[in-house]
Amino acid sequence: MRVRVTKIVLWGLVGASAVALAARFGNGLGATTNLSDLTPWGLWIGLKLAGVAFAAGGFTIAGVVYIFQLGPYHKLARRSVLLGLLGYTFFVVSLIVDLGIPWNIWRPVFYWNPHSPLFEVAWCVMLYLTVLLLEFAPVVLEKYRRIHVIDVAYRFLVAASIPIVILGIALSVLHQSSLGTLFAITPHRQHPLFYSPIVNVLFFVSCVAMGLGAVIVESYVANLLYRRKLDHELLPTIGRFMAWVVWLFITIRIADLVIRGDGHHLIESGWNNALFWFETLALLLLPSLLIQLRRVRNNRTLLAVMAFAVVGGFMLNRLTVAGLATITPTGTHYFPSALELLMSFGLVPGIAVLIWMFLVEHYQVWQPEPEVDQPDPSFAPPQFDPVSGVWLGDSMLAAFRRNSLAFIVAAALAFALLPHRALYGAGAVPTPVQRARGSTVMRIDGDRNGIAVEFKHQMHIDKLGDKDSCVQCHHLDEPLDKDTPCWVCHRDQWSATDIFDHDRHVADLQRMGTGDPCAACHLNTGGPHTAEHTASCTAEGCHHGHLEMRREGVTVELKDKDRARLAVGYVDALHGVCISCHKKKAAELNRPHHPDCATCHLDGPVPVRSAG
Amino acid sequence: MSYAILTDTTLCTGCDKCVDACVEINHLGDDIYYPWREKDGLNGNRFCSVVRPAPDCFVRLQCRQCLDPACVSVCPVGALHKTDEGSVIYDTEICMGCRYCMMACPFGIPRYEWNRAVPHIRKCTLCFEAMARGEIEQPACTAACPEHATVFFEDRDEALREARRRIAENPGTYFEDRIWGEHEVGGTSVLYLSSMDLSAVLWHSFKPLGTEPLPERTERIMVTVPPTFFGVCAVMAGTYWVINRRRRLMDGEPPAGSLKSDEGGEP
Repeated sequence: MRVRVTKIVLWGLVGASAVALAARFGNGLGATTNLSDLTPWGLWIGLKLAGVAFAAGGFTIAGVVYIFQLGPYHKLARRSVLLGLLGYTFFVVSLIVDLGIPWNIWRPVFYWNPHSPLFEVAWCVMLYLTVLLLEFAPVVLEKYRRIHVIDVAYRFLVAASIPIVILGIALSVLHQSSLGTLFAITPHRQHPLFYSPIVNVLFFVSCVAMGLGAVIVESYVANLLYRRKLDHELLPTIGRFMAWVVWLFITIRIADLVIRGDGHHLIESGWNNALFWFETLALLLLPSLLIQLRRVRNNRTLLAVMAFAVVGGFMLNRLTVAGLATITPTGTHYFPSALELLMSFGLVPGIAVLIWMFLVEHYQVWQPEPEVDQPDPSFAPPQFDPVSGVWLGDSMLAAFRRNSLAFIVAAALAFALLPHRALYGAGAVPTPVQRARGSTVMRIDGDRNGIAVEFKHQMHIDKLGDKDSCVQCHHLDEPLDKDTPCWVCHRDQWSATDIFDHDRHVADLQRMGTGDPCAACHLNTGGPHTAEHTASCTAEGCHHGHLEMRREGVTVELKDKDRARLAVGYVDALHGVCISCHKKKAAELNRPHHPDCATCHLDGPVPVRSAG
Repeated sequence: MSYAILTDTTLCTGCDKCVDACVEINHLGDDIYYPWREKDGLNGNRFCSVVRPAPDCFVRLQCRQCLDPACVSVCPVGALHKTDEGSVIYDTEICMGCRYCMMACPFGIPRYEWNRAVPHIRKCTLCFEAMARGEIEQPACTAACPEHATVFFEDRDEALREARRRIAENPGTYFEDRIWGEHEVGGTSVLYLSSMDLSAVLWHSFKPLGTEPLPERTERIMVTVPPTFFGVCAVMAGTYWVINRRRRLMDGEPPAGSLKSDEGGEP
């Protein structure tokens, strides 16, 4: 039952994030994330760094079992290798989501830059993922050994296991530490408490502790979901070992800070310090001390809680290095968007856990208990395991129906709840223009930011030749109006806006009472009201209408007749009108500085010192 | 020989002519006020901007073309290059969009086309392409400056000499008589003279950047990679051999580590 509910939830999460994924690739990163030029790496990178450390259990336990040949740990070998595999699947899936051009992900294979830590990460991930697949492949292959080819492959992989394990350990050591090296080049981004020139060492030590913690957490989850027995001897020992690694981490970290002369940051107050001490004391030191108590260690729930705390502490550490510690130095505020959160906690872990569930259900990931025989692959897995009294699953078709329903319903919900920006792409931020104040002297400050131009309206009227001159600037009048002010059409400070007001046309036409108001413009009101249809049949009429509305003798030129309905931004419009006229006057009046900024922007640009 | 630009903020009037010239030569189009637009005015289609940190001070921002650029060092596919002339150029064809260059740049210069589904990194390249084709003698921005506040030099040493000359001729004008960019992160090709402290403007940094080129920090670690790899391999293989041999001698039977026990009940 628990398995079934978990799967429904996971499939739902995957379904919802599939929609988010489509939006992300359709409309780009800007529309779907809150990343920006000064925070180009966000939650995805942070979680990737945190998630891949789960994989560290894979190489640690593999080393203990195959290199140091500590027999009792052998039963953990397969499951920790699987954890490693999932950690790296997690990494690769989230990388594909995060990369701007994911189909170029293979480039590091052919385009080398050995100076780059990320180049090393790319190679380590590629190679170690291959190694993990080879390490884990025997678990899958052993089920099909009746096929000759597979049997040959199986025997080969088993024979080659020791070199594979050694290669895996070396690649892991490099990869986990080079994830830290990524941040050795960013001292300008991180708070000194979280920047370290030996961050690669810190990342390596922390990944060992996280990997061990992940093995404990995985055992607990397996116990929760599948009622697998927890090991009462190995897990507490692993817990103690994890605690030692945690102490090593804390020691290296504080020693590094003190030696570099940044120790005084430890006793300052502030957000970064709070983070540092919360992480170090509450999430790392306290659980690692408690785990030394026999009573805590031997209580499976408490042990799992301690492991959760340590894993959480290191995850927080990595999120901090990748993001939280950069808030103060860069002065940027970033909070992940809903889609980022959904994909981080839905798609990627969802896929990883579903793969895990599939593999543990169908293959012998857990070393068999002595009394359980190796299941014969010719039989379907039993729906009800009489030995443990647990539902292992039900018919495949029912499960398929249930899970796909969850997938579709969640996808539909996600689609309905997608933010406008994710669905239609990001648009410009509107900066509505407010009208200039005053009459004889007007204060022009469209966005009301305090920087204004004092425009001597009356003086311009007088100098340019009384009422006849209005048309030089007021180039378009609204119906029933004269000398319509600029802000009526140029409604946005920066962006071009459409001057067509549909509601107003409808209201005016209704007031005029000439029958169906729609028919006045839309030639075929019976047809489908699609955007294309409307544009195709009325665009021509509207253009002419508005071109005819232009007053005679205007000096303001329309740059693009096809865009007659679009009014350029307020700033561009005023600069265009004023500067072009000032340039003409500069020649006429022989006043070369007439078009300069300072002529109008009195509080603005003034040369400090003339060029010498 | 390396090209350089000297920008004297005491001469700049903030007319934005350099920005217009940059837009024109790079075909950048409209500046759209997207939600992610940064306050400094640089973005995927603005490679140069003028900010105003104080009422009487205008500072033109652009790529500093570092002598030892962090972005070039960190690009995993080597899409960024430092040319012999001093430009830091990039090849959008092989970029995979990891945005590490944006993270590593101490000046926050590379910008991203966040609005596009297939986005690229964009930044100033000192008009490298147009100059290489021989269309222009100097970058569009310096050519456009009416106040000669930003000046192009064919040689960085020449630019430094000119900067020192100005400092000597106008004592007390420049903040700490300092040439911004002379030594920071190993030196940059775009140099600034200013009457005010530019550290808050020119780089987003908690601490002063120092004179050590940033790439040295990672390259110091990266050279240890091959020895680490072979070291770990050797230590693990050695440990395995020692332990395996000891086990075999103790038990007189085949070692358990060879995965034989994985086969469970297999005959």
